[in-house]
Amino acid sequence: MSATRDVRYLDHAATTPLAPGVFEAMQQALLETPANPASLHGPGRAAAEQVEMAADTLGTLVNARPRDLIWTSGATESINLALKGAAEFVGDAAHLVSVVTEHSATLDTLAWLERRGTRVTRLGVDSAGRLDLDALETVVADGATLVSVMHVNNETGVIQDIEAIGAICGRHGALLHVDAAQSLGRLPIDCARMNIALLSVSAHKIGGPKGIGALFVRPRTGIAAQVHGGGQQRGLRSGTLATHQIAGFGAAARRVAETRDSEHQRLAALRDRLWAHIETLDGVMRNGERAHLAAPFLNVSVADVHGEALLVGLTEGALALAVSSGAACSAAKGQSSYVLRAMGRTPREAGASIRFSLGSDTDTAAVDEAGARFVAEVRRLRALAGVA
Amino acid sequence: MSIYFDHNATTPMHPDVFEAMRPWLTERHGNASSLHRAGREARAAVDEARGLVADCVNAHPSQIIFTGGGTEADNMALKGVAALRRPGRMLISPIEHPAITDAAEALERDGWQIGRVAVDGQGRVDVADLERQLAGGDVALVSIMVANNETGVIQDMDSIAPVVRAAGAWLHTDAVQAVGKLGFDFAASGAHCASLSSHKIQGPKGVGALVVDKQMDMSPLVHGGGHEQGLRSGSYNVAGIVGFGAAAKRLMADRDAEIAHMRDLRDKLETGLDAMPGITRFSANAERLANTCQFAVAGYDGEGLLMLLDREDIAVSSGSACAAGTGEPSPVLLAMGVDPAVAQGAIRVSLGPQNTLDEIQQFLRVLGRLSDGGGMAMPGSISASVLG
Repeated sequence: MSATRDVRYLDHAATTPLAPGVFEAMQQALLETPANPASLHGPGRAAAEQVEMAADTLGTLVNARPRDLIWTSGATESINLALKGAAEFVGDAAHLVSVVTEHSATLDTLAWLERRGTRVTRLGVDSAGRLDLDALETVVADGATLVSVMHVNNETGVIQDIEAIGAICGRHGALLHVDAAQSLGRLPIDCARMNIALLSVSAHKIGGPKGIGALFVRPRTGIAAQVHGGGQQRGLRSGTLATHQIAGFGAAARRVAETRDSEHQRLAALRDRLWAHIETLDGVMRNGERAHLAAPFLNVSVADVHGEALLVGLTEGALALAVSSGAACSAAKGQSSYVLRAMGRTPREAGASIRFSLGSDTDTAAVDEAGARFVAEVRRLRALAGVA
Repeated sequence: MSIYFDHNATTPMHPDVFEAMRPWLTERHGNASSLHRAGREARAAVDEARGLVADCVNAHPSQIIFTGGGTEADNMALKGVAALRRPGRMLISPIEHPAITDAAEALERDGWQIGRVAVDGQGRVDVADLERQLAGGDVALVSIMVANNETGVIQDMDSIAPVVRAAGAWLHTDAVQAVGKLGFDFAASGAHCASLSSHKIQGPKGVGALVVDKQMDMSPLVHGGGHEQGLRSGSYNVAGIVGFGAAAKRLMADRDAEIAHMRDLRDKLETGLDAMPGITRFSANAERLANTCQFAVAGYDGEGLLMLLDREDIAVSSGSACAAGTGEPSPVLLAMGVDPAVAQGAIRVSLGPQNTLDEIQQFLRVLGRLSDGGGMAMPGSISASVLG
């Protein structure tokens, strides 16, 4: 793999390399417990044991009961199941409240529900990307059935105050769904204390495999199944369980449970170090307020540079930086960031923005190299454009 | 040595498939939607696998929509068509996989009329009845599987497809069991869409595909991000998809020899069974998958016999793994008109390419020993589930 030797991977919000021990757990599940975990025979029961162990680990990590966990193919499916399932269960009375800066899995699902007649309210954010809790309470008090908020934004790293939002939902009898794809393993999550009825998580953002996620469903939360079939997982999500994927998710969850707090400290220091490099430039702006950002994230808007040119300049060349200009999902479509525009950035500022997201394999040297490379590239592009 | 005779439930992963997946689980970990090099490499791997899966079923790569498995693909076909129309009529057969029958029941609750086409005593769809039920010209979609997971019965798609097309309905077929043990040619099948699953062909669990003819109008089942031409969102399970591609590639090279081997073993098994007293073989006179044999032993409950065989380290199924543990007789056999008391005794042997003649002989010896017992000394916990 000489092709990756000169790359600094700073795109852990898009996906992460497997954490230590995860590949081994997956390999063991693939080779030693290959049977269908729904089968009654011994090999099937051995596979089912792997699934149960992983559920225990994940439940502990978010303070929810393992038996309330529904395995899915990823956070996108979890979010679809939570929102469509809750809307379908309530029927015509459904009123879903969410935020304009949510992941497209939430926004696209809400748009689909809205076209089918479900009432949807979308709240804006302030210039720091934060939800106005008074505005939320007013809407929730007006008869919202479900509030869907992401814990940590995938583009900016902005943290929403889930505990306060959970309290608002509790006061007015609304269910709270949290998209925790970016916060699992990075911030503490406590479903009980935060009053979370539905929690969507993904393995591949925490050093687990792609293609596996989960939805925690608190007891007595009404949701309708979206994938019907053999009746696996209490009928809420049918389909053969992918034992090796689940075992990999469990191993990754075990790992982050041990490293989360120390990694948070370490990555926050590295993130600040990276910003110290970048803020030597004129015309750069950090998106989000430091006090409300998850440690691995640094999202920077750059004046007087064309966004696409900057991204291409950074991701190519002798020392390539694997960074992103937004969500991987919308990157493929070449759109400027709706998240940054919602925070009041002009389309031009939103366009010239770069997301760095650090992770377990990021060290001081990588941050210093990336910072120097970024500064040099911005200067090069500005010189080309005749900007001093 | 343990004997695994449950390949219709799931197959052990082929070593070549695991080796193909390995780099995508270790050093090559990009998100296939990211624009940087790690992302583009992952995208190229997904597209290579797409080509291999397409080749394997004679479809165009652009017709392959990757899903989280066969169950999701089945759900997507029915609900994806239903979502774009006012409730109308669909036809299924009563021997479809639960992914189809349960999805159809969900549509019934939404106001759809679901007609069930008759099958004969061997489990073959009655094409004349299909034609009658299509006569009104108001059927949106027909779903009939290529080959049944329990009995292995192969449907006459050459007769079914023209009838469905002449009536102006879409034809979906569940080809999950057929691909590895019969072969499936999408272009020649006459179907407009078809469900595939990786883990039935020695690929990984948790990945499948819906093959979709471009002229079909279909709504996605999972929204968010717009992956797979907008039909299936969610970060790509790169390693899983690569594994599916590798399994398809291997299968194309080995399938004919594997089918011949499995057929030879299955025929020897059936010769042995036919020489034993009290055995009822199902669908014995129909064209079946080369690896599948479903039968009942007089005096035994299927799940009870399964557990007795499990004690001898022989893994078989008493029906679909998905429905395992429900204690109900197989709906497939009941639809064929099998006496419920006999259907309750059904077990399924489904062979794989790695099975040997020694294993067949050992299985016959064990079964002979169990059924020779006459009164059949059985432990209390199991005798309770024995009929008659």
